[in-house]
Amino acid sequence: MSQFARLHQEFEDVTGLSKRLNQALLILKRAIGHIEPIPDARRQEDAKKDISDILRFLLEKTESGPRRSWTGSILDEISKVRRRSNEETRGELQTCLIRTGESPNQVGADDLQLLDQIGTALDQSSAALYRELIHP
Amino acid sequence: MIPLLEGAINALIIRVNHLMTLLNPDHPVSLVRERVRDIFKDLHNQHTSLKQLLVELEGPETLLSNVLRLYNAIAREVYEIEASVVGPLSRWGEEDKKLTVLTVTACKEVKIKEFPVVLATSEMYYRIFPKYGVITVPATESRGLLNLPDLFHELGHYGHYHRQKIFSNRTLVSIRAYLDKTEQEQQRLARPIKPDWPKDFEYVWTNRWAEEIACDVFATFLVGPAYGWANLHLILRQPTPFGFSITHPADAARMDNILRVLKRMELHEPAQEIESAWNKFKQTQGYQPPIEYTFFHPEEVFTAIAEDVEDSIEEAKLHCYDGNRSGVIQILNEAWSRLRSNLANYIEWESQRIENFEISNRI
Repeated sequence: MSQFARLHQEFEDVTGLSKRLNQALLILKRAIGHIEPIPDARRQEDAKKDISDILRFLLEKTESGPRRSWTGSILDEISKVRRRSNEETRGELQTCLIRTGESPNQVGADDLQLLDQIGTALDQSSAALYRELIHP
Repeated sequence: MIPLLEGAINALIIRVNHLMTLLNPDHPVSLVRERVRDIFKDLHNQHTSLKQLLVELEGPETLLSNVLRLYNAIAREVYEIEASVVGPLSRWGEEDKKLTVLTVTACKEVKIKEFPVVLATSEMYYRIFPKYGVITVPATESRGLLNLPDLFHELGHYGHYHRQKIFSNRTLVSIRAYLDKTEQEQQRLARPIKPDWPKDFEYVWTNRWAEEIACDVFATFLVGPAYGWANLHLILRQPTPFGFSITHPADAARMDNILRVLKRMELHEPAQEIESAWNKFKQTQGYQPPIEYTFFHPEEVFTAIAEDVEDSIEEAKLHCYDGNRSGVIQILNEAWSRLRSNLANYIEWESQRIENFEISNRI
């Protein structure tokens, strides 16, 4: 009769997103930096799609409306690190989404930094939920 | 850093291998075999991802932060699978079998088609791990009947994640409508509402409370009065029924809602009996609700959830409690009735029922 089911689901969602984003970033960084072995075109496409999906998901979930549990705190965290307002961060997520959708060559150092900051925020959120799961 | 991370990844690979040896893929109970198969699939994926991480470690430093974060995520998942399902399943025993048989039988009675495995390994109270279809309960639960209605609350969560959402749009609309209404009341009638309350209200209901309340409603529809009694029994062990937090609505509001659902089912007599005991309990304890209690627990949101759950039960063609059914649901209701009317013979009756049940049911 606890909130455990919901908490467990959130842990799985956040941790799953963290894995997807970091896997995609590894591919993207290899492609952009020409790091051998360079992932083939199909893997690059999949990585681009994963990143776009995650950005779109974050934008959608942090749109006006109720403060969402972990997605809201992720936006707060990224904004804090980047010293921006949440609205400015959302604007940057939007720009990054457009550039990622075009081609890996369009993705600049700023975008990679933003994506890494999202990765860190997801990782921290996953760690916090894990702590809550094991020490409710 | 790299040698340490490489060592940690290798240690995690070995841990995943050990976890696989703890589970029996040829388990004699088919339901457990299915769970083991799902867990193996998960562990196999983790193993593949970890091997890939070792390859990534050979790359330049710019990739290291991503490798580290991936390792973190995988490690958490692996330790979580170990603690929540692999450990308990690897110690599968008679108590687990009894509980699982009982739960499967009860599910079949009400036409629930997804059966969880129930393990007597919880350090807390009842818990469900929806992804793995595993419910854990305290060690002695298979030896008594009184808490078992709470299994249906967990089955509500299981259905919510696996079959269909048990609450949906009507609930969300009612949350918004309530906030609009209170905003007007605040402006026109100067209703005393603190500035943070509406924001907090929307957050807790949308993200946390609605699902809990929906699972209470689900269990009440399927088990009937026994769920009301089990809930009151649970409240007896809580510090105050009016306390609530970001994660939990107040027990008092949950109890009142269960009573409303019983009346909605036209089970007026048992609802009255529970209500009378509940009122007596509150009166004896002298608890008073905090000032914000009423604002955070509006009846219209509870009602919208009940309507959503009712629709979802109807759509899934589940059988609601009607007072006439035999089987597990009837036994759970009879247990609560006998406990109150014939306490002297209750323990013997309960043991006998559990024993008879074990003989007549197998999985």
